Amino acid sequence: MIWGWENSWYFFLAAALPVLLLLYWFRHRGKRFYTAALFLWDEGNAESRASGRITVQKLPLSFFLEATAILLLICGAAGFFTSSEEKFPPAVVVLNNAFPMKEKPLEQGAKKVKKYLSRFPHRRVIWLRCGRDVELLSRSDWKFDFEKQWNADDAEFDAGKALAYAGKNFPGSEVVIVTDRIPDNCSLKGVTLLCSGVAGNNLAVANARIKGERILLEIHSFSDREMPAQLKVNNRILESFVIGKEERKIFNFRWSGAQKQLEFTLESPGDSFEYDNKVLLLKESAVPVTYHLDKGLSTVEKRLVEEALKDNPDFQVVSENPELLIAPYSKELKKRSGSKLFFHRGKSPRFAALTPLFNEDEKILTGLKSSALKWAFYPGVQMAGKGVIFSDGTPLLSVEKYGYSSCVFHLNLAVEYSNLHRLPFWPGFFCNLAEYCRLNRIGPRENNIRSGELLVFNAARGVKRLIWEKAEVKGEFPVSEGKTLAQLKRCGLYTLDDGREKFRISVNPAVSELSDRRQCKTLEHYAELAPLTQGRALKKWSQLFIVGALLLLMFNYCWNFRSGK
Amino acid sequence: MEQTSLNAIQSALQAVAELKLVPPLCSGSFDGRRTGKSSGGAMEFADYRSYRAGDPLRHIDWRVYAKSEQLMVRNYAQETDPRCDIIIDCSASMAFYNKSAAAAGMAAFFAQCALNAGFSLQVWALCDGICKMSTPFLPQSWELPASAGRENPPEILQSTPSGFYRSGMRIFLSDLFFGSPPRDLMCSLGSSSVVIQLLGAEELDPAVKGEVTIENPEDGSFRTIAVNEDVLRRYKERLSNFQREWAEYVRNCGSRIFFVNASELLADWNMAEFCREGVLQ
Repeated sequence: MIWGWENSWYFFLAAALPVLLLLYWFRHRGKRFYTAALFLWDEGNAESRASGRITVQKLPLSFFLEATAILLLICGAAGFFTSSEEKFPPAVVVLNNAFPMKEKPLEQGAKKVKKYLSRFPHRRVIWLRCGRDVELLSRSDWKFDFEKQWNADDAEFDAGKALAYAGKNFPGSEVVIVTDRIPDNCSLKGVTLLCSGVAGNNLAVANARIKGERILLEIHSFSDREMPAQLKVNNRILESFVIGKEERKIFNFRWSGAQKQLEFTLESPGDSFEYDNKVLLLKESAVPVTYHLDKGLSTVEKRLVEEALKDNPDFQVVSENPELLIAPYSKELKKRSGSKLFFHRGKSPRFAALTPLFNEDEKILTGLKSSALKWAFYPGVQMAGKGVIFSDGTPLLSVEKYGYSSCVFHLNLAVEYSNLHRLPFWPGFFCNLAEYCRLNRIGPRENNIRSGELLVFNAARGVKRLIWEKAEVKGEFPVSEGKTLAQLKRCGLYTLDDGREKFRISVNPAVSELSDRRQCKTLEHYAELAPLTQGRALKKWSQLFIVGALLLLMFNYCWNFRSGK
Repeated sequence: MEQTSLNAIQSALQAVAELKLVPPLCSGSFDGRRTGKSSGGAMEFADYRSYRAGDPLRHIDWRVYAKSEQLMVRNYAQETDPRCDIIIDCSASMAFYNKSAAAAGMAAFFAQCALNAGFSLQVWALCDGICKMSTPFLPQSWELPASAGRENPPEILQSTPSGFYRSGMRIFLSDLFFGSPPRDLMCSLGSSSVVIQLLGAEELDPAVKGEVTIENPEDGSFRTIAVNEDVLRRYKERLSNFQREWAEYVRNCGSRIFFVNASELLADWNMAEFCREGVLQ
């Protein structure tokens, strides 16, 4: 049999014993009464002849009782355990953490697994929580309070990953999956399945996107029949409709009011699951990009840029501290903060012989066409950054990441000789430019994301961490190279704090096929337990030590009381 | 000599006034063992006392017996040259609770009383041996040893040839806590003795509670006990029995015994009891 201590550092507390000894010694030394009539007093605890300098003090019984009680309490706190041979292999319990488990399936699942495990006492149980990824919760005690850590707020349930994890880390163990339906795409051979799902029809808000003032809402029906439904926004009925069997309905709205957030709720009398019926959208910040035209621009350049920007709601001219500076290239201007669009100049402009080549992966070129472009450029001009438009190997437009959250666009364009400003390319380019600048703004790129999607946060210079808070739960993400990339799996409204400013984002459920509750079942399938394997079950003895200490202290008290202390 | 003992001697001498030591009563001789050399006016009839077993038959007054059919023995007091030995216990236990100061003061008191009564006086100190004070009638110049003796006073008296007066009274000042029975001391002191037990107020009524270590300063032995009301009650009972045992024996020997609170004595030098019992007048 193996024995040991769960919290062995409690033994440092045993250092209290010498202190106790010293206290008793001083206490006994403290009171002395001198008389030659020792024979007139009762027999005591110690009697010795001081033949030498050192005298040994006999300690009273109460000292030993109290010292033993302290030792027992330390042993109890240190968690003495013995480990005997198991009668059954260890159980790896996989808890389905996907959102369809919420409420009744979770409660019923917890009851089923407790009942199942109670049939095998003193069995080692390993607890896994599985959503997109597998998390190990505990590996020692079958009485572990797993319900507190079973949130059921993940977007999916990858049973295959859980089985692979269990097989690799706990070979020979019995896998118990607690879920609401039979998992697909994984082999359930030798697996005990405890399903506690409740089958039924379900309507779900599958998608909710916001762009500027436009909102797109998609509703899916996971039902075998038509279902009437109502769509509400901020508790006000927006639309009543009937959705057909397995139909997908799309709604488009315009966010015209002054509200900063909209909560869409889908209600239907036959809906068996309400968690995926709500979506909270925050207004995306569409603050125009501030720009400034440098006085060094030529008259033509200035006129053509102003024509493109003056009626563009994405831009706003300012006289100082612009987000985007449009100027002829100079090293001094490059050092300024913010993004820049530089017009490079040279001598003897000439047309690009071939249609300029676009690097279409670049966001700055999204939606732009190169056909019919007549691009006059200055040969021999050297531009920094990564080229995105080329002609015969010469970059005509390049992008350079410069500074902390700014970009520099280098344009080799003799604008007065080109026809760009007469084609959709010109305004489209500046729209993309505005989008590019917005992406580099401090704060989250999007205020609304779906569970499991990547949160991209641009941090200001000097910020090392980003603190998130939802309800009463807090956490933090590190900032690396001015950015935080993180996943927020749990749905709800979050506050992000970079130490200078607070931002809000809404995480909505990422509705998937899991919303189809017609597949849910209630069943139990038990695998045959493998023959006895190597393994040990822990038995803790802490309570015994603590009870023993209490009994000793009671005895000590009664003993002292009896002897008149 | 310690300052406290010196102070006690001075205050005792101030309290003496005109008190005199009374010569002891004896039956036919000073201490009943032999006839004194002096005769006639040297011995004065003082009193009768009841016959005790061991008294010589020649001391019985037969005329009193004829009249009263009671055996009575004559007591005589010496008229001239009374003698006195004052013996002070200077063992280690006397160093506590003002007992050594009380003993020194009391010895000085009796010495002055003896001087007032015309006694011949010797003053002795017992401290791992016996030493005699060279100026018995000048207590301030006594060279009393510090109370640190570890030897038993009766053993010292028995083992050391005493220079006590062959007849006369002996006054023994001690706490009597030397572990020997009263017989051992009384056979050295004789019958015309005055035994005075000096105890400190803390020894008569200890004010201790809880875990206490009780130590014997004479041999270093100690014991640790938990003192409570019951323990204190038992201690006082044993002390009372101890004093009663000593009183019985000493009185049976024809001597007198007194139990004195050292602290109270030093405070007021009230010797009324000694006057009542005829030690002083």
